[in-house]
Amino acid sequence: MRPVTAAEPESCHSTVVDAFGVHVEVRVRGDRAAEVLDRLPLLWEFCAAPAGATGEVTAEVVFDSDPQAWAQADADGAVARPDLEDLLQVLTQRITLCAIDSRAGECLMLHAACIADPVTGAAAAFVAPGGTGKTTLVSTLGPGRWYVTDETTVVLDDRTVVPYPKPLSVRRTPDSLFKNETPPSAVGLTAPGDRVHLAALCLLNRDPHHQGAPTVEALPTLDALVALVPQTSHLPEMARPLQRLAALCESLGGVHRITYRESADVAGLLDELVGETS
Amino acid sequence: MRARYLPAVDRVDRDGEAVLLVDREVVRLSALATTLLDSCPDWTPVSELVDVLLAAYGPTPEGVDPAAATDAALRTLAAQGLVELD
Repeated sequence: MRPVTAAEPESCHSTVVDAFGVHVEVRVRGDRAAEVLDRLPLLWEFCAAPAGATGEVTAEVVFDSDPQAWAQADADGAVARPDLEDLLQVLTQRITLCAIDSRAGECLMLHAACIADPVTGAAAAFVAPGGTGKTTLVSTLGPGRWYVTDETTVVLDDRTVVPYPKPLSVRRTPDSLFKNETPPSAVGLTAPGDRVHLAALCLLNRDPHHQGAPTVEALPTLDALVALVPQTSHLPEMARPLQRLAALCESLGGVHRITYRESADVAGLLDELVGETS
Repeated sequence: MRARYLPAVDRVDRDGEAVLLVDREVVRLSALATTLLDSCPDWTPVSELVDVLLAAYGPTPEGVDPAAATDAALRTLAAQGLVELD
């Protein structure tokens, strides 16, 4: 992330985040803007844009002590909340959406967590809807490996994965609807240091009633497509989207559905998929 | 009634079955439904499609009228945006 720029006439400051190659300019206004800007560098520590980078897309943010100011900004489509933690969570979502929309039709974007082996760069992606265990899995199994993302796995045609090691959105309490943004390093994660390539594609099925070791089910290609398509972004905008997704699945030896109860139970399986932690 | 195939965004076939992307929805078709879809590249009478299915899959179970079953299958495909009917 490059340093905050000089104030503009309307006291708008900005910084730029690299979200899987998309430079998202975060423009912050309001009398409490500094509180937001102070938090961003550490939260987005692994998504630093090159020095001098300019934004391809913009996320507008307003943080102000005047309720009318943020209410109006919210109505105008800016990220605006009265509470800083809420705002930072919504901002992460906005940055992700900005980047996803910017890459529409260019590459496969899966709603998936991804962890890679730091020696080989081999990565396993774990596809799951929001709120069903991706961040917990990354927090639990990511230390000692490369944290690629807990949200959006971007895969190119040659199976290169473009990292998006964003802040982790961690629930304040196990059943809370609210989350706190957490710097990846705070939970022992490290960013990829070299090329990452997809080696395994899995569907996560967390079942609190599951007993014993995780079960692994190999899915036929058509079943895999039916399960994966709803967890993609902008898929129809790609050329031959289903054929490319099917080719990816089959080049990886198929897609596996993992049913488990606790993230730690998946550790042995992850070792098999991408290699043991050193 | 006649039926005609509507192009999908994309399609993958495996072992006679198919998955199609229709707008933003994914649709999984059985082998019979795939045959039915592929048998009406242009406006095709239902009676002709009934004959195609009978030739490919044999007679319907006792008590099931093949014309009615084909009609129902076509209406399902139409609801999924895969064929148009007149």
